[in-house]
Amino acid sequence: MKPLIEDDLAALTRQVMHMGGLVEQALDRSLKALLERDRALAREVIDGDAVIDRLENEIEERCLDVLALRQPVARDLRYVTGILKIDSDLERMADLAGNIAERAEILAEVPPLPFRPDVTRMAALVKRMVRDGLDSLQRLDAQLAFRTWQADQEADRLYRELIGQAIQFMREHPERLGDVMHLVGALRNLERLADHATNIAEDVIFVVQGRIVRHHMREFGAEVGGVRPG
Amino acid sequence: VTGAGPIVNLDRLSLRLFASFAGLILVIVAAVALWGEIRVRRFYAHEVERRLEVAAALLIERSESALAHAGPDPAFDAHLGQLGRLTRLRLTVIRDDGVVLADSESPLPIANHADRPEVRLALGGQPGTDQRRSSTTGQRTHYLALPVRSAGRVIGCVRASAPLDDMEGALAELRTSLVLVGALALGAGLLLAGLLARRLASPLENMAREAEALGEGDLARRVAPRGPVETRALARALNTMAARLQQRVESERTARGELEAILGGMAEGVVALDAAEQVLLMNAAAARLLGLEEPLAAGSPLWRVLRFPELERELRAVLARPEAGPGTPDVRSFDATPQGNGRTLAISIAPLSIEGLETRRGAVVLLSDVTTTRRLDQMRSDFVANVSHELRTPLTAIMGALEILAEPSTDEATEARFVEIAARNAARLKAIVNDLLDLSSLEAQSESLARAPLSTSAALRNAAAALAGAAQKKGVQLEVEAPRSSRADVLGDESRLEQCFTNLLANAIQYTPAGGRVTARARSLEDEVEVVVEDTGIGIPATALPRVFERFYRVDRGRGRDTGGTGLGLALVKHIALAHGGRVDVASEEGHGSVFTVRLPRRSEA
Repeated sequence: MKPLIEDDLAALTRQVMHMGGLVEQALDRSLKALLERDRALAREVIDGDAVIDRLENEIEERCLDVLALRQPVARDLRYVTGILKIDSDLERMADLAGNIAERAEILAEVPPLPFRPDVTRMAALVKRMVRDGLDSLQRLDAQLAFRTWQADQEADRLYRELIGQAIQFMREHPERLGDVMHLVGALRNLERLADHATNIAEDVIFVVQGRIVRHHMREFGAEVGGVRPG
Repeated sequence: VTGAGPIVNLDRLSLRLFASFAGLILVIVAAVALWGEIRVRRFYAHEVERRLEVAAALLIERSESALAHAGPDPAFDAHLGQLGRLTRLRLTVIRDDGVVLADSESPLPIANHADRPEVRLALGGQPGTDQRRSSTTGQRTHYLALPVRSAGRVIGCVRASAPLDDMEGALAELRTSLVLVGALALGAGLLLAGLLARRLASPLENMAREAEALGEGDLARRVAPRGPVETRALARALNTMAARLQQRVESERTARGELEAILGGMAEGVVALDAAEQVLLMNAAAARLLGLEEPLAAGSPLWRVLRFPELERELRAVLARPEAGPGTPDVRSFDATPQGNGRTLAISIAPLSIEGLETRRGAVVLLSDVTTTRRLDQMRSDFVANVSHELRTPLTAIMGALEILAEPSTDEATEARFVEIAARNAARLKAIVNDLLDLSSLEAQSESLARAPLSTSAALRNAAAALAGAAQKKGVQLEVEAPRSSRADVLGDESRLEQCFTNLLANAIQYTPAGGRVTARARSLEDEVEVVVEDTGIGIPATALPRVFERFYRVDRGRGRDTGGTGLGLALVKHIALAHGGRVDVASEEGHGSVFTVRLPRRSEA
C-alpha cells in the first residue's frame, strides 16, 4: 500500500519537533552556561551544533521530496513550505545559541559582570518565546503564535535597556571594555534568536490561516483580538 | 446490527403461520369436496337406477297386454300417467318397432324412440341404460329400459326415467356447505395463527431485546423464562451466558481498576508506547514529570506534544533494535531534564512486546524525579572537593611563608610580613576547622544542646555590636530594631544563637556594597520568635536560592572567598536554627538585596 501524504507530513512534523527540541535545549544550555559561568556546558553546546546542521539538511530534503512526489495542495502545501522556512530559522537559532555559548566560555573566565538580573530576565523571555513558537507550530495554534510575536517588543526593550547599562558600565570601568563587549555580543545573539522565534510564529500563522502576515502583524493582531502591547 | 424496528416481526410471523394453515385447510376442503361429489354422484346414480329397475320390472307385466293390442290405448296411458305421478318417474311403454304406446308425462303421439340407446338395447333383449338430456323435457335424465317378452319373443320394452337435477341440487348444497365450513376453518386458522405467533414471538422478542441490551453492555439484564419449553431453555441459556459475561467483565474491570489505581498512585511516571511512538498508556505522574497538562490519551503520538530530544533519541534506539532475544531485555537508563520545569529525571526505557493478533513491539518508559537525590549527590561530591580546596588554600599560603622564613637571608620586614601571612592563614584554617566541627557537632547531637531561657533581642544586639566595627569600616549602615526589654523568649544555647545572628549579619554586610544598609529586626509572634536580617546588597539569583545553605556553596566561584568568608556561615545558621527546633528562609531579588528570616519556637510563659 502506498503511504499517504499524512504519513509523510507526520514524519516531517516529528523530525522538525526533534530539531526544535534540540534547538531549545541548546539555547537553554548556552544561557545556563552564560548565567552560571559554566565552561563545560558551553563547550557541549558548541559541539552539539553539528547534529542540528545535519537535521536541517535532512528536513529540507524531505520537504522537497514531499513537494515533488506528493504535490500537496492548500494547507498541506502551506505546511510544507512553512516547515522549509522554519527549518532554516531553527538552524540559524542553533548557530546563535552556539555563539552565545562561545561568549559564555570566555565570560566564565573573567570576573562576573553586574547585569545578571536583567540578563536572567531577558534569557527567560527569549526561552519562553522559542518555546511558545515551537508549541504554536506543534499545535498549529495561531493565537499562541501571535502572542509569541507580541513578546518580541518586550525582548527588544530589554535588549536596549541592557545595552544602555553596558555602555554606562564601560564608561565607569573602561578596563573591562573587552569583557562587556563579549556580553553585548551574547545579548545581540539572544535578541536575534527572539527575532527568529517571531519568524516561526509568522510562518505558523501563514500555515494555519493561509495569509502572509509577515510585516502585517498589527492588522492581523487587531483581527484576532490580541492585545497590542502599549 | 441494532435496528430501530422490533427484532421479531409479529405480523410477518402470524402471516406465515396463517398461510400454512390456509393452505392446509384448502387442500383438505378440496379433497373432501372432490371425494364427496364422487361418492354422492355414485350413490345417487345407484339409488335412481334401483328405483328405475323396480318401477320397470313392475311395469313389465302390466304392459304386456297393452303391447299385445299393438295400438295406443288411452286407458292404459292414463293408468301409466297415474303410476308415473305416484312413483315420481317418467314411465314409457314402447312397441318393438319403436312406437311409443304410452307415456306417463307427455301426451301422445311421441316421436319414434327406436333410436334411443337404452331402447335399442332393450329391444335387443338386454336391459339398457343411458344418461342424457331429454329431448322431451330438456332435463338431464337417467333412462332404464327392460325388454318385455311374450312367448320367448321381445314384443316391446318398458322404460323408466328420472331427472338427475335433484342430484345436482344436492351436490350444490353439499358444495355450499363445504365452502362455508372451509371459510369458518380459515377464520379459525387466522385467529389461531395470530395467537400462536403472539405466544411464540413475544418471548422471542423479549429475549432478543434483552440480548441486544446485553450486547450494548448492560450485563445486569436477565430474561424472564416465558413461553414454550424451547424458549424457556433458550432464555435460561441466555441468562447463564450473561451471568458468565458479567462475572468476567467484573473481574477484568477490577483488574484494570487495580492496575490504574497502582499506576495512578505511583510517584514514578510510566509511559507505554508502541513502535510508532503512540501512547498506549500514560499515568498522571508521567504527565506531571514531563510537564504535560494531562496524561495523553491512548493512540496520540508522543511527538505531537513533547519536545524532549534525549528521550526521543533513546526511545528510537530502543524501538529500532531488532527483536529482543531471550534473556534480559536491553534497558537504557539515563538522566535528563525536560524543557520547562528544570527537574532532573532518571529515565529508563525497556523494550516491550505486546502479544496480540500479531506481536507488536513498543517500549515502556519509566520516569522518576531524582532532582533531590542528584542534588544531594552533587552536594556530597562538591563538599569533598570544596573542603579540600578550602583547606588547601590557607595551607599553601602558610607553607609558602614558612619556606621564605626558613631562608637565612630574609630581612626583618619581609620576615614580619610573612609571619603575618602565616598567622592570618592559620587563623583562617582554624576558623574553617572550627566551623566544620561546629557543624558536625550540631548535626551529631542536636538534642544535647544547652537549653537555657534567653532573649533573642539581646543575642541579636550582642551580635550586631560585635560587627559594628566591620560595618563601619565597609561603609554599611547597620541598624537593629529589637525591643529593649530583654525578656527571655526562647530556650537555647546563647553562644550558638549569637553565632547564628553574627553569621547572618556578617554575610549581609559582606554582600552589601558601601552606602548600603543592613537592618536586623527581632519580634515576637504568637508562638514563634522571628529574626529578620535584611540587606540592600547584590542579592542572590533565584537558581542559587535553594543552595545557599549548603556547605561551601558559592553563587559564583570566587564570590565571598576574597572577602574572608569560610563558606560555612549560612550552613551553620541553618543548622543552629534546626537544632533549636526552628528554621531559616531566604528571599532575594537580584540586584536589590536579600532577606533572611530565622524563626524559633517561642518559650511558653509558664
